[in-house]
Amino acid sequence: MVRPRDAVARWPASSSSPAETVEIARRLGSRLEGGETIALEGDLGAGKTTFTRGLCEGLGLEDMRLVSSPTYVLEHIYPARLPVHHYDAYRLASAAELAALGFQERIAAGAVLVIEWADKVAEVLPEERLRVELSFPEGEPPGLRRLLVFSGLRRVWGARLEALAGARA
Amino acid sequence: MLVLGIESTCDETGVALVDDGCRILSTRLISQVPLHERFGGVVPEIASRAHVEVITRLVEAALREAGFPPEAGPPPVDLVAVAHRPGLIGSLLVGLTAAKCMALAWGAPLLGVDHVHAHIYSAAMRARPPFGLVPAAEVLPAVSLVVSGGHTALYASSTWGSHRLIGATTDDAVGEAFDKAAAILGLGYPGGPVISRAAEGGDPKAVAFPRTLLEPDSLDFSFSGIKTAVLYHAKGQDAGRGAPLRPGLKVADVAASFEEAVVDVLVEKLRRAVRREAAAAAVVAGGVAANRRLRARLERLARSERLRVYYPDLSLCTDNAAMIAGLGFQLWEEGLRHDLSLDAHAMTVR
Repeated sequence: MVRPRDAVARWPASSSSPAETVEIARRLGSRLEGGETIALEGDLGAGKTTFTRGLCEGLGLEDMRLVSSPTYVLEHIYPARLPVHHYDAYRLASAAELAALGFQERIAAGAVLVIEWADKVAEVLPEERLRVELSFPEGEPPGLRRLLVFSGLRRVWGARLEALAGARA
Repeated sequence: MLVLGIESTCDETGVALVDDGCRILSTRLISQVPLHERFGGVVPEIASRAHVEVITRLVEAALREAGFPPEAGPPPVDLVAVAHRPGLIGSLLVGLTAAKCMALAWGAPLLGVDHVHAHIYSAAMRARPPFGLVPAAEVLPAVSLVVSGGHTALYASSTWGSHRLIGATTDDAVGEAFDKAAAILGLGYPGGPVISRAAEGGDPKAVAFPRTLLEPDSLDFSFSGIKTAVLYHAKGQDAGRGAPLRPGLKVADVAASFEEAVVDVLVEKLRRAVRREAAAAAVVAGGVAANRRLRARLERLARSERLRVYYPDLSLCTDNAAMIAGLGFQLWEEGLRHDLSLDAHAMTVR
Protein backbone atom coordinates (compact mmCIF):
# COMPACT_ATOMS: atom_id res chain seq x y z
CA MET A 1 0.00 0.00 0.00
CA VAL A 2 1.37 3.39 -0.96
CA ARG A 3 0.88 6.12 1.60
CA PRO A 4 1.13 9.84 1.00
CA ARG A 5 4.46 11.11 2.18
CA ASP A 6 2.96 13.41 4.73
CA ALA A 7 1.25 10.52 6.49
CA VAL A 8 4.51 10.12 8.36
CA ALA A 9 5.73 12.75 10.81
CA ARG A 10 9.47 13.10 11.11
CA TRP A 11 11.70 15.04 13.47
CA PRO A 12 15.45 15.04 13.08
CA ALA A 13 17.21 16.09 16.25
CA SER A 14 20.75 16.09 17.47
CA SER A 15 22.21 15.60 20.91
CA SER A 16 25.61 16.77 22.11
CA SER A 17 25.83 14.44 25.11
CA PRO A 18 24.23 11.47 26.88
CA ALA A 19 22.65 13.98 29.30
CA GLU A 20 20.97 15.76 26.39
CA THR A 21 19.77 12.43 24.95
CA VAL A 22 18.23 11.68 28.35
CA GLU A 23 16.53 15.08 28.36
CA ILE A 24 15.04 14.63 24.87
CA ALA A 25 13.78 11.17 25.79
CA ARG A 26 12.42 12.42 29.13
CA ARG A 27 10.21 14.92 27.30
CA LEU A 28 8.93 12.16 25.05
CA GLY A 29 8.30 9.91 28.05
CA SER A 30 6.18 12.52 29.77
CA ARG A 31 3.91 12.59 26.69
CA LEU A 32 3.25 8.85 26.53
CA GLU A 33 -0.20 7.53 27.36
CA GLY A 34 0.22 3.76 27.29
CA GLY A 35 0.08 1.25 24.46
CA GLU A 36 2.92 2.92 22.53
CA THR A 37 5.86 1.09 21.01
CA ILE A 38 9.16 2.96 20.83
CA ALA A 39 11.44 1.26 18.30
CA LEU A 40 15.09 2.16 18.86
CA GLU A 41 17.60 1.59 16.08
CA GLY A 42 21.31 2.25 16.06
CA ASP A 43 24.70 0.64 16.36
CA LEU A 44 26.52 -0.44 19.50
CA GLY A 45 27.09 2.65 21.62
CA ALA A 46 24.63 4.87 19.74
CA GLY A 47 22.71 5.57 22.95
CA LYS A 48 19.69 3.25 22.92
CA THR A 49 19.86 2.34 26.61
CA THR A 50 20.64 5.97 27.51
CA PHE A 51 17.52 7.00 25.59
CA THR A 52 15.48 4.42 27.47
CA ARG A 53 16.66 5.87 30.80
CA GLY A 54 15.37 9.28 29.81
CA LEU A 55 12.09 7.83 28.61
CA CYS A 56 11.58 6.07 31.94
CA GLU A 57 12.43 9.25 33.81
CA GLY A 58 9.74 11.05 31.82
CA LEU A 59 7.36 8.24 32.72
CA GLY A 60 8.01 8.91 36.39
CA LEU A 61 10.08 5.86 37.26
CA GLU A 62 11.42 6.51 40.76
CA ASP A 63 14.31 4.09 40.95
CA MET A 64 16.36 4.85 37.85
CA ARG A 65 18.84 2.17 38.85
CA LEU A 66 16.38 -0.39 37.57
CA VAL A 67 17.07 0.72 34.00
CA SER A 68 19.91 -1.08 32.27
CA SER A 69 20.54 -2.99 29.09
CA PRO A 70 18.34 -6.09 28.78
CA THR A 71 20.62 -7.71 26.21
CA TYR A 72 21.27 -10.74 28.37
CA VAL A 73 17.85 -11.45 29.78
CA LEU A 74 15.93 -10.04 26.75
CA GLU A 75 13.21 -8.22 28.73
CA HIS A 76 13.21 -5.83 31.68
CA ILE A 77 10.01 -4.58 33.29
CA TYR A 78 9.97 -1.22 35.12
CA PRO A 79 7.16 0.02 37.41
CA ALA A 80 6.85 3.59 36.10
CA ARG A 81 3.63 5.66 35.83
CA LEU A 82 2.82 3.14 33.10
CA PRO A 83 4.53 -0.25 33.11
CA VAL A 84 7.54 -0.14 30.79
CA HIS A 85 8.64 -3.31 29.01
CA HIS A 86 12.21 -2.88 27.79
CA TYR A 87 13.24 -5.44 25.17
CA ASP A 88 16.50 -6.04 23.39
CA ALA A 89 16.59 -7.87 20.07
CA TYR A 90 20.41 -7.94 19.90
CA ARG A 91 20.58 -11.66 20.69
CA LEU A 92 17.47 -12.59 18.72
CA ALA A 93 17.75 -14.21 15.33
CA SER A 94 14.29 -13.48 14.04
CA ALA A 95 11.23 -11.36 14.64
CA ALA A 96 9.14 -14.40 15.59
CA GLU A 97 11.28 -14.74 18.71
CA LEU A 98 10.24 -11.32 19.93
CA ALA A 99 6.62 -12.18 19.27
CA ALA A 100 7.14 -15.26 21.46
CA LEU A 101 8.01 -12.99 24.39
CA GLY A 102 4.39 -11.87 24.33
CA PHE A 103 4.92 -8.22 23.54
CA GLN A 104 1.63 -7.86 21.68
CA GLU A 105 -0.25 -8.66 24.88
CA ARG A 106 1.71 -5.93 26.64
CA ILE A 107 0.58 -3.33 24.10
CA ALA A 108 -3.03 -4.40 24.54
CA ALA A 109 -2.61 -4.08 28.32
CA GLY A 110 -1.57 -0.43 27.98
CA ALA A 111 2.13 -0.77 28.75
CA VAL A 112 4.85 1.24 27.04
CA LEU A 113 7.19 -0.92 24.98
CA VAL A 114 10.76 0.04 24.25
CA ILE A 115 12.67 -2.18 21.86
CA GLU A 116 16.40 -1.91 21.25
CA TRP A 117 17.73 -3.18 17.91
CA ALA A 118 14.16 -2.82 16.63
CA ASP A 119 15.31 -2.95 12.99
CA LYS A 120 16.03 -6.66 13.51
CA VAL A 121 12.39 -7.35 14.35
CA ALA A 122 10.61 -4.58 12.44
CA GLU A 123 8.17 -6.86 10.66
CA VAL A 124 6.33 -7.84 13.83
CA LEU A 125 6.19 -4.33 15.30
CA PRO A 126 2.96 -2.33 15.10
CA GLU A 127 2.58 0.23 12.33
CA GLU A 128 1.77 2.84 15.00
CA ARG A 129 5.25 2.60 16.51
CA LEU A 130 7.60 5.53 16.90
CA ARG A 131 10.93 4.88 15.22
CA VAL A 132 13.97 6.49 16.79
CA GLU A 133 17.11 6.10 14.72
CA LEU A 134 20.25 6.96 16.67
CA SER A 135 23.49 7.39 14.78
CA PHE A 136 27.00 8.73 14.95
CA PRO A 137 27.42 11.89 12.87
CA GLU A 138 29.48 11.12 9.80
CA GLY A 139 32.72 12.89 9.05
CA GLU A 140 33.26 13.98 12.64
CA PRO A 141 35.91 12.70 14.98
CA PRO A 142 34.55 10.19 17.49
CA GLY A 143 32.72 11.98 20.26
CA LEU A 144 29.54 12.24 22.25
CA ARG A 145 27.35 13.83 19.57
CA ARG A 146 24.52 11.71 18.20
CA LEU A 147 21.82 12.21 15.61
CA LEU A 148 18.30 11.19 16.57
CA VAL A 149 15.68 10.85 13.86
CA PHE A 150 12.12 10.34 15.09
CA SER A 151 9.43 9.11 12.71
CA GLY A 152 5.93 7.76 13.10
CA LEU A 153 2.43 7.95 11.67
CA ARG A 154 1.34 11.57 11.74
CA ARG A 155 -2.07 10.75 13.22
CA VAL A 156 -0.37 9.08 16.18
CA TRP A 157 2.84 11.04 16.59
CA GLY A 158 2.47 14.33 14.67
CA ALA A 159 1.33 16.50 17.58
CA ARG A 160 3.77 15.01 20.02
CA LEU A 161 6.76 15.34 17.71
CA GLU A 162 5.82 18.94 16.97
CA ALA A 163 5.63 19.64 20.69
CA LEU A 164 9.03 18.05 21.20
CA ALA A 165 10.56 20.02 18.36
CA GLY A 166 8.92 23.21 19.66
CA ALA A 167 10.25 22.68 23.16
CA ARG A 168 13.74 22.44 21.73
CA ALA A 169 13.48 25.48 19.50
CA MET B 1 19.01 -30.48 55.66
CA LEU B 2 18.75 -31.74 52.10
CA VAL B 3 17.76 -29.05 49.60
CA LEU B 4 16.83 -29.43 45.95
CA GLY B 5 17.71 -26.28 44.04
CA ILE B 6 16.32 -25.21 40.67
CA GLU B 7 17.78 -22.51 38.40
CA SER B 8 16.09 -21.36 35.18
CA THR B 9 16.43 -17.59 35.14
CA CYS B 10 17.78 -17.27 31.61
CA ASP B 11 19.56 -19.60 29.21
CA GLU B 12 20.62 -22.37 31.56
CA THR B 13 18.56 -25.02 33.28
CA GLY B 14 20.14 -26.32 36.48
CA VAL B 15 19.18 -28.73 39.24
CA ALA B 16 21.28 -29.52 42.32
CA LEU B 17 21.03 -31.41 45.58
CA VAL B 18 22.92 -29.74 48.38
CA ASP B 19 23.12 -30.80 52.02
CA ASP B 20 23.34 -28.17 54.77
CA GLY B 21 24.06 -25.33 52.37
CA CYS B 22 27.45 -26.54 51.18
CA ARG B 23 27.79 -30.28 50.59
CA ILE B 24 27.01 -30.66 46.89
CA LEU B 25 25.65 -34.18 46.33
CA SER B 26 24.93 -33.54 42.68
CA THR B 27 24.65 -30.59 40.36
CA ARG B 28 23.41 -30.73 36.81
CA LEU B 29 23.33 -27.99 34.25
CA ILE B 30 22.08 -28.00 30.73
CA SER B 31 23.33 -25.09 28.77
CA GLN B 32 20.97 -24.35 25.96
CA VAL B 33 23.73 -22.84 23.87
CA PRO B 34 23.91 -25.76 21.38
CA LEU B 35 20.16 -25.64 21.03
CA HIS B 36 20.24 -21.92 20.33
CA GLU B 37 23.21 -22.20 18.01
CA ARG B 38 21.11 -24.32 15.70
CA PHE B 39 18.72 -21.41 15.42
CA GLY B 40 21.42 -18.74 15.40
CA GLY B 41 20.55 -17.13 18.71
CA VAL B 42 18.52 -17.34 21.86
CA VAL B 43 14.96 -18.24 21.05
CA PRO B 44 12.74 -17.28 23.98
CA GLU B 45 9.99 -19.71 23.08
CA ILE B 46 12.54 -22.45 22.59
CA ALA B 47 14.26 -21.39 25.82
CA SER B 48 11.05 -21.83 27.79
CA ARG B 49 10.17 -25.03 26.02
CA ALA B 50 13.70 -26.32 26.48
CA HIS B 51 13.52 -25.62 30.20
CA VAL B 52 10.24 -27.58 30.29
CA GLU B 53 11.66 -30.48 28.34
CA VAL B 54 14.84 -30.92 30.34
CA ILE B 55 13.88 -29.93 33.85
CA THR B 56 12.19 -33.17 34.97
CA ARG B 57 14.93 -35.25 33.38
CA LEU B 58 17.53 -33.11 35.15
CA VAL B 59 15.75 -33.54 38.49
CA GLU B 60 15.72 -37.30 37.99
CA ALA B 61 19.40 -37.36 37.01
CA ALA B 62 20.42 -35.18 39.95
CA LEU B 63 18.45 -37.35 42.40
CA ARG B 64 19.92 -40.55 40.97
CA GLU B 65 23.46 -39.18 41.18
CA ALA B 66 22.86 -38.17 44.79
CA GLY B 67 21.77 -41.74 45.60
CA PHE B 68 18.01 -41.32 45.44
CA PRO B 69 16.75 -43.24 42.37
CA PRO B 70 13.08 -42.52 41.71
CA GLU B 71 12.13 -46.21 41.88
CA ALA B 72 13.16 -46.16 45.57
CA GLY B 73 10.28 -43.81 46.34
CA PRO B 74 10.09 -40.12 47.13
CA PRO B 75 13.51 -38.63 47.94
CA PRO B 76 14.19 -37.32 51.46
CA VAL B 77 14.28 -33.71 50.24
CA ASP B 78 13.65 -31.29 53.14
CA LEU B 79 13.24 -28.15 51.07
CA VAL B 80 12.78 -27.16 47.43
CA ALA B 81 14.55 -23.87 46.63
CA VAL B 82 13.96 -22.10 43.33
CA ALA B 83 15.36 -18.95 41.74
CA HIS B 84 12.15 -16.94 41.25
CA ARG B 85 13.77 -13.59 40.34
CA PRO B 86 15.25 -11.77 38.46
CA GLY B 87 15.22 -13.15 34.93
CA LEU B 88 13.23 -13.82 31.80
CA ILE B 89 9.69 -14.29 33.05
CA GLY B 90 8.79 -17.28 30.86
CA SER B 91 11.94 -19.13 31.87
CA LEU B 92 11.45 -18.30 35.56
CA LEU B 93 7.91 -19.65 35.46
CA VAL B 94 9.08 -23.02 34.16
CA GLY B 95 11.50 -23.45 37.08
CA LEU B 96 8.98 -22.15 39.60
CA THR B 97 6.22 -24.44 38.36
CA ALA B 98 8.52 -27.45 38.44
CA ALA B 99 9.60 -26.52 41.98
CA LYS B 100 6.00 -26.23 43.12
CA CYS B 101 5.18 -29.65 41.65
CA MET B 102 8.11 -31.30 43.43
CA ALA B 103 7.31 -29.56 46.72
CA LEU B 104 3.67 -30.61 46.51
CA ALA B 105 4.44 -34.19 45.48
CA TRP B 106 7.08 -34.71 48.17
CA GLY B 107 5.38 -32.73 50.90
CA ALA B 108 8.45 -30.48 51.17
CA PRO B 109 8.32 -26.72 51.79
CA LEU B 110 9.06 -24.35 48.92
CA LEU B 111 11.36 -21.34 49.11
CA GLY B 112 12.03 -18.71 46.43
CA VAL B 113 15.49 -17.19 46.34
CA ASP B 114 16.96 -14.25 44.46
CA HIS B 115 19.36 -15.38 41.73
CA VAL B 116 21.74 -12.44 42.32
CA HIS B 117 21.82 -13.02 46.08
CA ALA B 118 22.62 -16.68 45.37
CA HIS B 119 25.65 -15.58 43.34
CA ILE B 120 26.87 -13.69 46.42
CA TYR B 121 26.26 -16.70 48.67
CA SER B 122 28.22 -18.97 46.32
CA ALA B 123 31.43 -17.29 47.54
CA ALA B 124 30.89 -18.94 50.93
CA MET B 125 30.56 -22.43 49.46
CA ARG B 126 33.66 -24.58 49.33
CA ALA B 127 32.50 -26.45 46.29
CA ARG B 128 34.93 -29.38 46.36
CA PRO B 129 35.43 -32.24 48.80
CA PRO B 130 35.83 -31.90 51.70
CA PHE B 131 32.95 -29.49 51.27
CA GLY B 132 32.55 -26.75 53.76
CA LEU B 133 31.12 -23.37 54.41
CA VAL B 134 32.88 -20.14 55.21
CA PRO B 135 30.90 -19.01 58.27
CA ALA B 136 28.58 -16.05 57.73
CA ALA B 137 30.20 -14.30 60.70
CA GLU B 138 33.54 -14.41 58.89
CA VAL B 139 32.29 -13.05 55.53
CA LEU B 140 29.54 -10.66 56.64
CA PRO B 141 29.01 -7.78 56.77
CA ALA B 142 30.62 -7.29 53.38
CA VAL B 143 30.45 -5.26 50.24
CA SER B 144 29.35 -7.55 47.40
CA LEU B 145 30.16 -6.99 43.74
CA VAL B 146 28.11 -9.12 41.34
CA VAL B 147 29.51 -9.13 37.83
CA SER B 148 27.99 -11.25 35.09
CA GLY B 149 26.38 -11.18 31.67
CA GLY B 150 23.14 -9.79 33.02
CA HIS B 151 24.15 -8.08 36.25
CA THR B 152 26.65 -5.51 37.48
CA ALA B 153 25.90 -4.20 40.95
CA LEU B 154 27.34 -3.42 44.36
CA TYR B 155 25.53 -4.35 47.56
CA ALA B 156 26.07 -3.81 51.25
CA SER B 157 25.41 -7.34 52.47
CA SER B 158 24.50 -7.84 56.13
CA THR B 159 23.05 -11.36 56.08
CA TRP B 160 22.79 -13.93 53.29
CA GLY B 161 19.25 -12.71 52.70
CA SER B 162 19.66 -8.96 53.05
CA HIS B 163 21.61 -6.99 50.49
CA ARG B 164 21.21 -3.23 50.11
CA LEU B 165 21.88 -2.01 46.58
CA ILE B 166 24.54 0.71 46.67
CA GLY B 167 25.56 0.84 43.01
CA ALA B 168 24.52 -0.57 39.64
CA THR B 169 25.22 -0.25 35.96
CA THR B 170 23.45 2.56 34.20
CA ASP B 171 23.66 0.78 30.85
CA ASP B 172 25.48 -2.45 29.98
CA ALA B 173 26.36 -5.25 32.35
CA VAL B 174 30.09 -5.92 32.45
CA GLY B 175 29.72 -9.42 30.98
CA GLU B 176 27.71 -7.87 28.19
CA ALA B 177 30.50 -5.35 27.58
CA PHE B 178 32.87 -8.31 27.20
CA ASP B 179 30.41 -9.98 24.80
CA LYS B 180 30.01 -6.85 22.69
CA ALA B 181 33.72 -6.03 22.58
CA ALA B 182 34.36 -9.63 21.52
CA ALA B 183 31.71 -9.28 18.82
CA ILE B 184 33.32 -6.05 17.53
CA LEU B 185 36.73 -7.76 17.44
CA GLY B 186 35.26 -10.85 15.76
CA LEU B 187 36.36 -13.12 18.59
CA GLY B 188 33.18 -15.10 19.15
CA TYR B 189 31.10 -15.91 22.21
CA PRO B 190 31.04 -15.90 25.21
CA GLY B 191 33.05 -12.68 25.47
CA GLY B 192 34.76 -13.16 28.85
CA PRO B 193 36.89 -16.21 28.09
CA VAL B 194 37.55 -15.27 24.43
CA ILE B 195 38.74 -11.74 25.34
CA SER B 196 40.99 -13.14 28.08
CA ARG B 197 42.44 -15.66 25.67
CA ALA B 198 42.97 -13.05 22.95
CA ALA B 199 44.57 -10.72 25.53
CA GLU B 200 47.37 -13.16 26.34
CA GLY B 201 50.63 -11.59 25.24
CA GLY B 202 48.88 -8.30 24.51
CA ASP B 203 49.98 -4.99 26.00
CA PRO B 204 47.34 -3.75 28.48
CA LYS B 205 48.70 -0.20 28.12
CA ALA B 206 48.65 -0.15 24.33
CA VAL B 207 45.28 1.61 24.07
CA ALA B 208 44.06 4.15 26.64
CA PHE B 209 40.41 3.14 26.76
CA PRO B 210 38.18 5.33 28.93
CA ARG B 211 37.61 4.41 32.56
CA THR B 212 34.11 5.67 33.17
CA LEU B 213 33.98 6.38 36.90
CA LEU B 214 31.09 8.90 36.86
CA GLU B 215 30.99 11.37 39.79
CA PRO B 216 33.80 11.05 42.37
CA ASP B 217 31.47 9.50 44.93
CA SER B 218 29.40 7.41 42.52
CA LEU B 219 29.21 3.65 42.95
CA ASP B 220 27.34 3.22 39.67
CA PHE B 221 28.87 1.79 36.52
CA SER B 222 28.74 2.65 32.84
CA PHE B 223 30.26 0.39 30.22
CA SER B 224 28.66 1.96 27.19
CA GLY B 225 31.50 4.44 26.62
CA ILE B 226 34.25 1.83 26.50
CA LYS B 227 32.16 -0.26 24.12
CA THR B 228 31.94 2.72 21.76
CA ALA B 229 35.65 3.40 22.21
CA VAL B 230 36.49 -0.18 21.23
CA LEU B 231 34.24 0.18 18.19
CA TYR B 232 35.95 3.38 17.05
CA HIS B 233 39.42 2.06 17.79
CA ALA B 234 38.86 -1.22 15.99
CA LYS B 235 36.98 0.07 12.98
CA GLY B 236 38.00 3.69 12.59
CA GLN B 237 35.89 6.78 12.28
CA ASP B 238 33.18 5.43 10.03
CA ALA B 239 32.50 2.58 12.41
CA GLY B 240 29.32 0.81 11.60
CA ARG B 241 27.96 -2.63 11.92
CA GLY B 242 29.71 -4.87 9.43
CA ALA B 243 32.62 -2.48 8.94
CA PRO B 244 35.92 -4.37 8.77
CA LEU B 245 38.64 -4.15 11.42
CA ARG B 246 41.31 -1.55 10.68
CA PRO B 247 44.25 -3.08 8.84
CA GLY B 248 47.17 -3.81 11.16
CA LEU B 249 44.98 -3.75 14.28
CA LYS B 250 46.67 -5.67 17.08
CA VAL B 251 43.73 -7.56 18.51
CA ALA B 252 45.78 -8.89 21.46
CA ASP B 253 46.66 -5.32 22.51
CA VAL B 254 43.06 -4.15 22.14
CA ALA B 255 41.75 -7.12 24.12
CA ALA B 256 44.34 -6.66 26.88
CA SER B 257 43.74 -2.90 27.06
CA PHE B 258 39.97 -3.41 27.17
CA GLU B 259 40.25 -5.98 29.92
CA GLU B 260 42.62 -3.75 31.88
CA ALA B 261 40.28 -0.75 31.63
CA VAL B 262 37.23 -2.77 32.72
CA VAL B 263 39.13 -4.31 35.64
CA ASP B 264 40.40 -0.84 36.68
CA VAL B 265 36.81 0.37 36.91
CA LEU B 266 35.56 -2.67 38.83
CA VAL B 267 38.42 -2.50 41.32
CA GLU B 268 38.09 1.27 41.81
CA LYS B 269 34.33 1.03 42.41
CA LEU B 270 34.84 -1.80 44.87
CA ARG B 271 37.52 0.24 46.65
CA ARG B 272 35.17 3.22 46.94
CA ALA B 273 32.35 1.03 48.21
CA VAL B 274 34.50 -0.71 50.78
CA ARG B 275 35.75 2.63 52.12
CA ARG B 276 32.31 4.19 52.22
CA GLU B 277 30.80 1.18 54.00
CA ALA B 278 33.91 0.77 56.18
CA ALA B 279 33.79 -2.89 55.23
CA ALA B 280 36.43 -5.40 56.26
CA ALA B 281 35.31 -7.97 53.68
CA ALA B 282 34.26 -8.07 50.05
CA VAL B 283 32.54 -10.72 47.95
CA VAL B 284 33.04 -10.78 44.19
CA ALA B 285 30.75 -13.20 42.36
CA GLY B 286 29.17 -13.95 38.98
CA GLY B 287 30.66 -15.11 35.70
CA VAL B 288 33.17 -12.24 35.42
CA ALA B 289 34.54 -13.19 38.88
CA ALA B 290 36.31 -16.00 37.02
CA ASN B 291 38.47 -13.44 35.20
CA ARG B 292 42.13 -13.91 36.13
CA ARG B 293 43.18 -10.31 35.61
CA LEU B 294 40.37 -9.25 37.96
CA ARG B 295 41.32 -11.82 40.60
CA ALA B 296 44.97 -10.76 40.51
CA ARG B 297 43.99 -7.13 41.02
CA LEU B 298 41.59 -8.04 43.81
CA GLU B 299 44.43 -9.74 45.64
CA ARG B 300 46.38 -6.47 45.47
CA LEU B 301 43.35 -4.51 46.64
CA ALA B 302 42.97 -6.92 49.53
CA ARG B 303 46.51 -6.20 50.65
CA SER B 304 46.38 -2.42 50.20
CA GLU B 305 42.98 -2.01 51.87
CA ARG B 306 43.50 -4.73 54.50
CA LEU B 307 40.43 -6.42 53.13
CA ARG B 308 39.27 -10.02 53.11
CA VAL B 309 38.09 -10.86 49.59
CA TYR B 310 35.95 -13.91 48.86
CA TYR B 311 35.02 -15.30 45.49
CA PRO B 312 33.36 -18.53 44.41
CA ASP B 313 35.08 -21.61 43.15
CA LEU B 314 35.37 -21.32 39.36
CA SER B 315 32.68 -24.01 38.96
CA LEU B 316 30.19 -21.77 40.81
CA CYS B 317 30.89 -18.45 39.04
CA THR B 318 28.50 -18.96 36.17
CA ASP B 319 24.81 -19.72 36.63
CA ASN B 320 24.21 -22.95 38.55
CA ALA B 321 21.62 -24.54 40.83
CA ALA B 322 23.97 -25.45 43.70
CA MET B 323 24.09 -21.81 44.80
CA ILE B 324 20.27 -21.69 44.70
CA ALA B 325 20.01 -24.76 46.94
CA GLY B 326 22.77 -23.38 49.20
CA LEU B 327 21.13 -20.00 49.68
CA GLY B 328 17.74 -21.71 50.13
CA PHE B 329 19.16 -23.56 53.14
CA GLN B 330 20.55 -20.36 54.66
CA LEU B 331 17.35 -18.38 54.17
CA TRP B 332 15.33 -21.21 55.69
CA GLU B 333 17.66 -21.08 58.69
CA GLU B 334 17.18 -17.29 58.82
CA GLY B 335 13.43 -17.95 59.11
CA LEU B 336 12.20 -17.10 55.61
CA ARG B 337 9.03 -18.98 54.63
CA HIS B 338 7.06 -19.08 51.36
CA ASP B 339 4.12 -21.15 50.17
CA LEU B 340 2.77 -22.44 46.87
CA SER B 341 1.38 -19.02 45.96
CA LEU B 342 4.95 -17.79 45.33
CA ASP B 343 5.27 -15.64 42.19
CA ALA B 344 8.10 -15.13 39.70
CA HIS B 345 9.45 -11.60 39.18
CA ALA B 346 11.40 -10.34 36.20
CA MET B 347 13.25 -7.81 38.36
CA THR B 348 14.60 -7.85 41.89
CA VAL B 349 12.38 -5.79 44.16
CA ARG B 350 14.72 -3.31 45.79
